[in-house]
Amino acid sequence: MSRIADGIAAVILTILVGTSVRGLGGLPPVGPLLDPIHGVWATAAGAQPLGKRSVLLGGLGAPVQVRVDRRGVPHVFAQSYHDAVYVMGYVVARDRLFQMEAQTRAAAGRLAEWAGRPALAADRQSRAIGLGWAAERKWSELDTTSSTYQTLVAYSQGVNAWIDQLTPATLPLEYRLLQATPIRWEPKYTLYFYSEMGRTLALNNLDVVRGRVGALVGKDAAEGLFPLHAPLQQPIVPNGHPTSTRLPVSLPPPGVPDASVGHSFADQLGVLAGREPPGNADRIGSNNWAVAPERTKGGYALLAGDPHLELTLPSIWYEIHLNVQDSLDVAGVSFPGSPGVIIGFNREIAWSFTNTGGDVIDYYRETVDDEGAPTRYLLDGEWRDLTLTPTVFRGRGGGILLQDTLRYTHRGPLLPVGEEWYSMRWTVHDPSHDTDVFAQMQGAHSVDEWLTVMEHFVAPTQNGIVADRQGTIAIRSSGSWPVRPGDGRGDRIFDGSRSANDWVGRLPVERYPGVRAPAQGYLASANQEPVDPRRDSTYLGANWPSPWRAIRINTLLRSDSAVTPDAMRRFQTDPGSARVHAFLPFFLRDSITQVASAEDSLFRRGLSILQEWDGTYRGQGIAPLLFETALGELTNRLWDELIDPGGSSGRRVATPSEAVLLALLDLPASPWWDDSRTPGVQEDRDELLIESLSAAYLRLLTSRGAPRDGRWRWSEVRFANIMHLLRLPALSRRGIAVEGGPSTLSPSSGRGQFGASWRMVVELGPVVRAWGTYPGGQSGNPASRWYDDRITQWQQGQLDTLLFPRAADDLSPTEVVSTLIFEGASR
Amino acid sequence: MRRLTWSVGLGLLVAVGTAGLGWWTVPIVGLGAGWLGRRRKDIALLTALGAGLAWGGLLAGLAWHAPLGPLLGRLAMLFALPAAGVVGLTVLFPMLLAWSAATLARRIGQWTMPAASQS
Repeated sequence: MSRIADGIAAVILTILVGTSVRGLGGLPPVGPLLDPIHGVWATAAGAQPLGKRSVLLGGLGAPVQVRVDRRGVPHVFAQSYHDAVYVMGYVVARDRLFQMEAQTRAAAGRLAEWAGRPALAADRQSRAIGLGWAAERKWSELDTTSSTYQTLVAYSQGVNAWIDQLTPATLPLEYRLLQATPIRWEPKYTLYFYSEMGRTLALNNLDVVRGRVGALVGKDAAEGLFPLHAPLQQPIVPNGHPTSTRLPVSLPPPGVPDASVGHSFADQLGVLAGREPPGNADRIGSNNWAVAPERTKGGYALLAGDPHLELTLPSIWYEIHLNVQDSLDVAGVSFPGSPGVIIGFNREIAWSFTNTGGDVIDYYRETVDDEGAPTRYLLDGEWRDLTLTPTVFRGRGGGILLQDTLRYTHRGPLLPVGEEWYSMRWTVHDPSHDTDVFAQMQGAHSVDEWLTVMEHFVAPTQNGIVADRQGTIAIRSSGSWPVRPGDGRGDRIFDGSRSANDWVGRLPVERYPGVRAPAQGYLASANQEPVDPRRDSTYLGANWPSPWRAIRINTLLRSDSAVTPDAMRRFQTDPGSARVHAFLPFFLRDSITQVASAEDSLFRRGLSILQEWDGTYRGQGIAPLLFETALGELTNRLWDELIDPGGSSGRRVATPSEAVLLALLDLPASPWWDDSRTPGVQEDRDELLIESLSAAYLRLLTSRGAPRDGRWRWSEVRFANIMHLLRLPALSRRGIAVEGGPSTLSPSSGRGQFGASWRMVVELGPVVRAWGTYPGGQSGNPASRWYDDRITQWQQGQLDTLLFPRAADDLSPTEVVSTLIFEGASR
Repeated sequence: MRRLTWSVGLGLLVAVGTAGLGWWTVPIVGLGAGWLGRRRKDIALLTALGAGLAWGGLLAGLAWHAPLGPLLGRLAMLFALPAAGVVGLTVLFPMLLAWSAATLARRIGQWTMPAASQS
C-alpha cells in the first residue's frame, strides 16, 4: 500500500514541479502563478490606491505633487513642463504599462516575441509598411536640443523609473500570463505609437478599391460607384445650404471588366497594406461640434467631441490633468505612450479631433532588376539602388522565426505583390514634430493661437475643432496634404519609373479646409468630405463616407438656438438617424405598397412594423432590426455584380457608399437593380425593395420567432463588446446593450468593437467646466476598481464632471484618494 | 497537540519561505520535513496541512488589505472554474506539493535508516 502511495507522490511531485517550472501547453507555470505573494494574486495588492507616498526620481528639477482623484485621474502639479511630462510617464506607466508596450510592439512588428508564430503575419505587415522604419528615421533626425527630443526623453525617464520600481504586486497581470518581462521604454517608442495611429487613421486604400471593382465591372462603372466626391453633401466647411444637398451622380451600367488591373493584384495589395475592402465607415469615425455663444443658453461657447475608435480594455485613452506653474494648465485625455494631452481643454480653450480620412498615401508600380529579390529600381531611365535592410523576426524565447529583407525606394517601403513590386509614399513616414505640436497646442490661449500651432501638424490629417472663452469657434482639417502632379488626384496606382509622378509639395495652410467664426453659429464634423467640391475642387481624397452623422448633428444644432451642456451630452447618444430618414421612405412609397400583391403577407407584415417606426434606434424597438436586415438584403441583391466570381468567399470585393445607393434609388430602372443571378428576368428597384423587406421579415421570423416575442428587440442584437488587448474573455466586457445603430451619433454596428472611445463636453464660460467619460477605466489592472468602472456610465450616455483644480489644495480631501510627492534624487 | 505544533510550525516555515523566496520553498520544506520527520507516519499529512494553512493564510492576509473580489471573478473565468475553485486550487496546490515531497523524502529517509530503527 505504501508503495502505491510513494508512486502517486512521485507522479504528483513530478507533474506539479514540471508544470510549475515549464508550464503546460500554452499555460504559464502554475507555481509562480498561484503564489499568493509573487503570483497572480499579488495583482490585487497592486490595484490599491497608494495613499500618501513620497517617490524619489533622479532628474527632476523640482518637487512635483500628484493628487489622484476618486475617478483615478492624476492631477500633476509641477514647476516645469519637463517635470510634468517626466511624472506623467511614471503615473501612466503605473496604470498602463502593458498597453504601452503592446502598442509599441504592434508598430514595431514584434508581437511574435510574445505570441509566437500566430502573430508573424501581423508583424510582417507592420514592418513591410514601414511603421517602425518611419519612427526610427524620425528619431534619428531629431536634434538632441529640440524640445521634442527633451520631452520624449523626460517621458521615457518617468516610464523607466516606474519599471525600475516594479514589484511582484505591481507587475501587470498580462506579463505573468505571457511569461514576459517589461522592456525598458525608449523615447522613440512614442514615435512608434504615432506610426501605429497613422495605420489606424490614415492607411486608406482609395487607390486599391477602384482596381478591385474595375476588374469586375469596368473602369467607368467603378468610377461611378466610387466617386471622387460624396454624392450627398453636408461638408465640414458650411456651403451656404443649411441642409444636405445632392451632387449629380453618374452611374454607368456594369461594363466590360478592366483587364489592365487585375483584382487579384488589388486584393493582394490591399491585404498587404493591411486593409480589408471598405465596409461600414462607422468603424473608425468620430464626431465633434462647437456652438458659438449666440446659440447657447448660457451665452458661452460649447464644444463636444467623441472620437470613435476600437473599444478595448484598457481603453485607448488615459485621463490626466497637467498643471505647470505659470505656464500650463490643461486637462483631458492622452494616449498611453504619448506625453501631454491630445484632446481636452485649458483655462481658455477646448478642442477635439475627428479623422479627416484624406488621401495621404499613394502606391507606385516599380520596375525592378530582379522580381525575386530586387536590389535596384528604374527611375527616369536609370537604375537606382534600393535601400536594403535585413530584418529578423523572433518568436517566444528569442528563437528566429524568419529572416527577411526590407526594401525602400526614395518614396518609401517597397512591397511585393505577386510578381510585381509597389512602393508606398505616405505622409505618416514623413519627418514631423508632432510631439511639439501637441505640447504647444495644449497651451494655446485662443482659437487663433491654436490654429497657428496646428499649422505644423503632419499626420494623420485631423479635423481639429476649437472654441475659446472669447466665444470664437473654428475648425480646420490640419495635416500634411500632398500636392500631386497632373490633375492632382491620388486615387490610382502611379508609374514608379517616372519621377514626374512624385509628389511636388504640400498644400499651403491657407488652402486647408477650414472656417473660423461661421455665420451660422455652429460647426460640426463627422468624417464627411470637408469641402463642397462646388466651392473648392482641390483633391483631398475620394469615396468619402456618407455624411449621416454630420447631417444629424447639423439638424440637432440647427433646431436648438439655446444649447446647454446637457443637450450636448444628449446629442452624443442621440438615437435618431439621418440614414433612416433617407432610406425608410423608399420602403413606404405608394408605388411599392400598391404594387406588392395583397397576398404578399411577409411584405405586408414587415411594412406595418416600419410604418409605425419613428426612425430611432432604441433598445425596445423591433423596427431597427427589421430595417437593418432589409437594407442588408437590398445591398446584397443590388451589388451582386461586385462579388468576385473567382473568389471562394462569395463576398463583394467592395461595397459602394450608402450615398451612392441613395442616388441609385432615384433611378428605378437602372441596370444595377437587375439581379444577375436570375437570368431572363429584369428586376427593377421596387421589386428589389419588396423582395428585400419580405426576405428580411422571413429571415427574422425563422431565426427569432414572431416579432412580439421579444427577440426582435434592438437590445437583443446590438451590444458593445469591449475586448481586452489580449482578447481574453475573462478580462473583457462583452454583451453591453447599447442604444444607437449604424450611423447614429453613437454608432453601433458590426461586432460592436468600435464606438465612442471618449466623450467630452466643455463649456467655455468665466470658469471652464467640463464633463467626460470613456468605456473603461483609468487602470489597466483587472483587479482595480478603476479597471472598467466607467462602462455603465458610458452605456447610459452619462458624463462625469471633470475636476480641474488650479492648485493641489483646491481639491477637497474627499475627492482625493492618493497623494504622491515626487522629489529629485541625486543620480 | 504535537501534531498541531508540527503543522503550524511547518506552515510558518512555508509562509515565510514563500514570501521571501517564492513557491518553490513549498517542495523544499516538504522534502526537509519528510526527511527530518521520517519516523512519523503522519509527517506528509502534517506538512500538507501546514502548506495549505500557509498559502491560505497568505491569501487571507492579502484580502485583508486588498479586496480580492474583482480579481477572483476574472481568475475564475480565466481558469474556467467557479470562484471557490480558484481559491481551492490555490490552497490545494501547495498541499499536494508538500505532501508528495514529504512522502518521497520520508521514504528515502527510511531507506537510509538502519532496518531496526524503521517504524
